[in-house]
Formats: sequence, C-alpha cells, structure tokens
Amino acid sequence: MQSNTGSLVCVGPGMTLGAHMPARCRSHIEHADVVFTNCHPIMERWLATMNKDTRSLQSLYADGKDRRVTYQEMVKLIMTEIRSGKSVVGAFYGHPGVFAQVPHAAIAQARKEGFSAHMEPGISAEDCLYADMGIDPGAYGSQHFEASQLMMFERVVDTSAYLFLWQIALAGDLTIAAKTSSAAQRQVLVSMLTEHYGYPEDHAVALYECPTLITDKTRIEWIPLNCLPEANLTLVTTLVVPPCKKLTKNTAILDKLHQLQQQQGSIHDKSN
Amino acid sequence: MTKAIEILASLANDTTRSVDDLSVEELNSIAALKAEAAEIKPIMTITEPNEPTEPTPDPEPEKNPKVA
Repeated sequence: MQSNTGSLVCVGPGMTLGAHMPARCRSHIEHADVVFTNCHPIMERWLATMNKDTRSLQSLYADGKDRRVTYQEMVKLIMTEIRSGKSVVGAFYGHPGVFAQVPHAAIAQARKEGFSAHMEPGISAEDCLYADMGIDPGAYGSQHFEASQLMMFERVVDTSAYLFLWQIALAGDLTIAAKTSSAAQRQVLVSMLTEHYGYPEDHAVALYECPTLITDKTRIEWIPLNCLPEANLTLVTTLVVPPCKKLTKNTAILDKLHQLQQQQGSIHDKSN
Repeated sequence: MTKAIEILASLANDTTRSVDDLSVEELNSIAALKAEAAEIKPIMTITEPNEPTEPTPDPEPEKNPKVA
C-alpha cells in the first residue's frame, strides 16, 4: 500500500570530503530514514557515519551495461522507498543537480506521484575550478559542454570565451558503456577544435581535477591542445580551453545603444 | 578505516591545520584508506551525450544485476 508521507531531498556533499558539505545537507542526511549515495567510495563511507541506513547506488553499475539503464534502476530504488512512506535523501557527489541525471529524474518522478521532493545545492567541480584556477566566468564569458555532446551535435563555440569540456576522458565514446575513450577518438575532438573552430594546435589548455581528499593536490596541468589524445585522463578530468581570440566590439549594436542614449538624454533635457 | 575518515573530515574542517600537522601514524592510516578505496571502482555519475529527451533503451535483463 502506498503512503503519501514519503519524501525526497537530493543533496550534494561537495567535492572534497569534509570541506564542502553545507549544514543543511548534513542535517538532511542525519534525519533521513534512508540515504542513497552515489559518490566517491571514500566519501560514501564518510556519509555512512552520519546515518545508519546509508546505501550506495554504485553496485548498479556494471561493465558493458548502458548507463542509462543503470540510472533508471537507481530512480526505481529511490522511488520504492519514497512510496513506502520513508523520508529519503539522495547524496550525489559535488552538486546534486550538475552532471547528474538521477537526482533530476527522481525528483521529477516523486513530484509527479504527489510526493514532496526538492534539491539542495552543493559545491560542484565547476565552483572549485573557478577558485583553484583563478578564472572569473564573467570576465570573458564561459561555455560548458559535455565533451561528447559537443562532438556529436551541431553546436556553436565562441573562441573569445572560455570553453569547459566535461567528462573529457569519454570524448567520442559512442558505446555509453566505456570508461575512457581512445586516443583516436579524442584526436577527432582535437581536429574539430582546430579545423572547425580555429583553435591553434599548440593552444595551451589545462587538465583540471578537484581532489576528493583534503590531503590530495588539485591537478592543473597545462598541455598543448594537440597533446590531448595521449594525455592521462580520468573520469573526473575537465578540459579548460582559454579564449584564443580577442573580444570584437559589435559596432552595430553599440551605435544603436549610443543613439538610444542620446535620445533619452534629449528627452531628459526637455523634461527639465 | 573510520579513524582515517575522521582525520580527513577534521582536517578539512579546521582551517588552522594542514596536512603537515598530521602525524606519521595519521598519514599512514589515510594512505591505507586510499589504497583500499582504489580497489573499488571510482565510477562517477556520468551525464550522457545524447539529446536529453531521447528515450532510454529497454533494459536487457541478462545484463542487469539483481537489485538488492
């Protein structure tokens, strides 16, 4: 029998164990009936110290299994507990809503069935990247893409802004089951960036990794773009591509804005 | 191993301390924790490159492990 007292809150313990967890995230975990986790294994063990009924979702992954099927199974597990009337918390690495399909899908499903469900923000890898690399996304603008999605769909890249490619280790993988793509697949990405978008082959790009443990070092490794295919990449590596072109003034829009300013100035003068 | 996690959480919470303040024993316990965790697949939540509204394929039963 279904109870409508069940609820779901998706939270993020941040990227670095102990350093990034918001107070509300901890409170939700401590007071939940069940906590599902999908984080780094050490992070999961830490979360398990806060609630006796903490269950890792990682056992649902399997070699060669379509990850989309895995995600469906995760949502199903979460929904089963909500339907039985439990207060459920889903703790997902970093920010629960950033590069994480399950929290969004589970919240949507829970709400559809009439349960209370919401998300609490956490500190994402993107937040850490700005701090660690000293990048202000507002300075030149920034574009974020899942690396393979940029390759597989017609997208527009502005080379006068920062380009961030997430899950770069999987760039070009068509199987949706692999853990890393091949050097040849990543070479396709490099060729696309140089030939289609105009980045120089030796353009300095950075490989960024945020540490899970406070005792580990942040990885910021600068390499020429054409060395990316052979670079050592992990599932948490992000590619940072700085702008290669200066900002160009949009004179047509600027002229319109100046005209508008002059008109408003003359109206203001008349009214005085 | 729980001790090592406590040390890491405590260090991360205390901005007046750094890794240099840890004892050899504490560093060794953290190293042991990491070595053990390395055996676990550090699989992350991964976002797919597909068009987001694309339907999920039907599960292939023989490839899906039983859910505990």
